[in-house]
Amino acid sequence: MIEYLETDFENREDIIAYVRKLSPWAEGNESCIQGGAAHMNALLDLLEPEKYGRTRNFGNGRVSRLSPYISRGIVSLNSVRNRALNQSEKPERAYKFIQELAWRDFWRRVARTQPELLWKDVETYKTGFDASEYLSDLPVDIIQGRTGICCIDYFINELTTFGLLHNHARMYLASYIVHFRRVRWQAGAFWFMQHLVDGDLASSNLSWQWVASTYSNRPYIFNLENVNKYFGDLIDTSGEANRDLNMDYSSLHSMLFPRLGVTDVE
Amino acid sequence: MSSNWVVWLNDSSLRTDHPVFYSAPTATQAIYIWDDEYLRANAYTFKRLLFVYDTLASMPVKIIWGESGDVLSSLAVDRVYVPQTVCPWIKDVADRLSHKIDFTFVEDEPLVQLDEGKAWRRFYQYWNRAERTVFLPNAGTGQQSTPPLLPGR
Repeated sequence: MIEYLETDFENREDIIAYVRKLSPWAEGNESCIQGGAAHMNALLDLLEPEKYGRTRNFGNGRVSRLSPYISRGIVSLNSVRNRALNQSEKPERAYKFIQELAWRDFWRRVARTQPELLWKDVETYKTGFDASEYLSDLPVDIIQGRTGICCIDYFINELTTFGLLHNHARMYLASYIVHFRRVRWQAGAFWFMQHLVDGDLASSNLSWQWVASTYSNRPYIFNLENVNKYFGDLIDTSGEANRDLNMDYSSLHSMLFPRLGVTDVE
Repeated sequence: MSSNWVVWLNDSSLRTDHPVFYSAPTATQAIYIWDDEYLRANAYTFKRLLFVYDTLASMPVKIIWGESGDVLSSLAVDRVYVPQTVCPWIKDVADRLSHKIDFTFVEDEPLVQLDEGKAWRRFYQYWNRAERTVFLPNAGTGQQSTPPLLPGR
């Protein structure tokens, strides 16, 4: 007996109620990010690859917000690239935007040819610690967004409320979890996949490995000065509200990786 | 199902101009299986589930409730066309049923022209090759996407 599900709805409230009934175990509320090709096309029309290139690292930068639609295959990387070229006077003006599309293509190719790397450490940690010295589970204060570090709690709230997080903030959060709290990247990656509307196994998990240093030459770390530069207009980046992050890179490196010698890490 | 084949869409291919629809015979029915067991095992939050359903509800696709292997078996199809995916679970289902169903995995439109089977390790190794075609429309293949003929709901 095949059970077909409803596809005709009067409005979105009806879809919301229907999905609630289908999967009542699912945690959280609906996001303001709505699926479907119509919403994707509206965002494509607004695409500004040149501005993206100049401002993408800033919390209020001109990012495309296409990620959920690309991840769910509502639009292909090829179509987005073609549109970016159309909306740029010269291909080089869309360089950074198209390179970000290429990162996705790269991660997919890695995952396709080496699927075992999706959840296993590609290489050992370059942090001075063995994988066995990292926690296997996320601490409760992280899950609840109550770490006491203002910017980290802000990013966690964005993730769990909207299911979307600026790429730079993802890197901060991943770095905080793996390096400041010494939690295995897999725990954080699974948590991201649960929440992110644009959760893409290849891009997300392999990026976690890049931050962790199990798929890069060194760990990615950040400090408060960096958060202030890119998110200072949006978040309280005062030293008092973000004590654990408020130090220079050299001190941070010594604190996080005491078994390593002094190196340039950023 | 009236035909012996279906297109089985997954979470990384929710659109009707995916090349899978060119590989499948004209007017092949598209299905999406709402596999609650799988969704629950991944503990996907409501936001993520709703985004997928929003999208499905706007497409000419039949959404079917059930465990994926059971559903595909019940449909009694000979061949299933699947958009290529990195999802290990889809591959597992295909492997389990391969003794009775032919699964055809179809690649998406390429972003770049590169050897599909090469096992890349570092991005800039990939980028040095990718740069040659990534800034060309349709990766320089000259192919244009046109919507294939699909059945109504």
